[in-house]
Amino acid sequence: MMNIRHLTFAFRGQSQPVLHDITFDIPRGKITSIIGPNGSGKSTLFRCLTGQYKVQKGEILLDGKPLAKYKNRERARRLAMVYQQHPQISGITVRELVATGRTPYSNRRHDMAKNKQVIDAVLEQVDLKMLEHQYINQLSGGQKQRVWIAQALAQEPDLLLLDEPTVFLDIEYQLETLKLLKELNQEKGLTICLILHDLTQVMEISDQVIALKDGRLFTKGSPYEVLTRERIEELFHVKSEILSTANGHKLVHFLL
Amino acid sequence: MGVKMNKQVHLLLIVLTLLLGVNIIVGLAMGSVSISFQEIVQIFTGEETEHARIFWQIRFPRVLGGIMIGMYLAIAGCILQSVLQNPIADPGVLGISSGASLAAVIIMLLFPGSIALLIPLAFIGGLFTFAIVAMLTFQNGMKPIHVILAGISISAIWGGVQAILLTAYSDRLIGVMNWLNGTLGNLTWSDIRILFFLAAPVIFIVLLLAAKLNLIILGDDVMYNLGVPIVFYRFLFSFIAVYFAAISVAFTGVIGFVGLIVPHIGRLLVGNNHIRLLPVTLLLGANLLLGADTLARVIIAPQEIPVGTVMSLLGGPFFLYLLLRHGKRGEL
Repeated sequence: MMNIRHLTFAFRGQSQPVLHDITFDIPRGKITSIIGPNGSGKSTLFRCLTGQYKVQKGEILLDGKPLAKYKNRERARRLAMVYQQHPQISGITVRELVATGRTPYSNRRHDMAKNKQVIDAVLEQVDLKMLEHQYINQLSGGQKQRVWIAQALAQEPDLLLLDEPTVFLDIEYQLETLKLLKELNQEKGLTICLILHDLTQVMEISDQVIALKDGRLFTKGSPYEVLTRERIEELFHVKSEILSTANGHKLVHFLL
Repeated sequence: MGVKMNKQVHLLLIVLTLLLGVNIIVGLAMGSVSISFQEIVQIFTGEETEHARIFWQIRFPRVLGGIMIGMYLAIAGCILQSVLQNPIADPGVLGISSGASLAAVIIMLLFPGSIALLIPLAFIGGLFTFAIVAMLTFQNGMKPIHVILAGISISAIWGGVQAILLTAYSDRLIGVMNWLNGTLGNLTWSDIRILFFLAAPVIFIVLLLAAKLNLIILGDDVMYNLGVPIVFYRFLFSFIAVYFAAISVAFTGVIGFVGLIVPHIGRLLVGNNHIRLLPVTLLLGANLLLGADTLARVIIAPQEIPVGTVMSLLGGPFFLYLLLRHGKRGEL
């Protein structure tokens, strides 16, 4: 799906790169989580993957074609992003915002029916049909997050990138968001790559984990390979233990 | 944004149109000379009544000008507030009007023979000022309070230069002083034709691009995600807003606060979706300026005060209210 090859990135005017020689793949139909301590370069990597930051060395391939070679609209039909912070907007309804997700597609008369069909389907999918005429500023944090995910889904992307989709949310809405992403992956086969902080959530949702440290790829692999006691200590400088629940789930328990 | 005009918005548009009709009739009837409704009907049917000449030569172009200038200033403010994501943006607050005004004064006083350059130079003056304000505040993310301070500072500088010119060329001030305070009273039929043909097609373009303005208020990240050329649309809409402001200033002088007040009322009534907001803004702008102009003519009739003064009296307190409200919310 997406191949990142020897990615190196430095901000303009700075000689020291923020990201050094990072190589990994985002496999089709899988969920890839990016983890790392604050300042490890996660958000910078996210903006490189979206194409907003132009990498100086290395390349990012989307289905074998360099991301930089995609035209804006073409890219927006393949790749959709949900950012960490959303603009504070008022007086726009849920449906109106979700409909903006169709911007990369034609808005000609004969495409209108298809657009409407996609918007309806997406609203159903994220369980917002009942709230479609509600103003966004009247929604809860979790509902707002679902609206932005719905907007991204209306783009009918192959790959969905999310920057810390559970941050600023209550635990109920965090789980609701993760459940939705898991469903989208399992039922629709959507490829997802997201930045997450909560390691138990990473363990629960991910097929692959990419760990960054000081702007370099620290390790990558399945959650069980990456999230070991030793690696967590090396990465985050905290002591932890990995516990197994009765139904086979793993969770990361931090020791104070 | 796939949005339909719902029934309430349709109703609001009808109410605003009817209100505009009333405003037009009152505007045509009232002033230093009162013209009865019956006489207005007679004049429209082609009768040569006592006040027919005043009606056709002065009153009617003035009312039409009020409608157009009100629309142009209101839409300029609406676009600027969206493009800058700044709730207190307006051509006056940003200094665009004073830039256009200075350019117009230079033409009127220094090059009165080159009056054809008035509009293009007013546009350049407005654009130049907007560019300075944008450059001064860009590094701080164009925060509303910085933009306002920069706009006020630049306006003060332009005002100083203008004052020097007015003193140095005091023998050429006939007509200019009235214009400086912002008035619709000087508009002729020729002005009305120019105002219409230069700006009405641009209104049509803005209405067609309303959905793009909706994307602008979602911010740069979302626009990028949707594959929309951010810089292109920011420039395009900024140019359009300055264009409307400059055209208005070139013909009527600086009339402040229409672009500030109207979009706020519009947003309160129909929300932020520009597909609904723009038509409402246009009608509200026309109503507000026309109403203010009628007020300007009747407050101390038979004398009249410039409509720019009336708008300052209305807009000043509104501006303070917005400063307090957005300041409390930490949005400045």
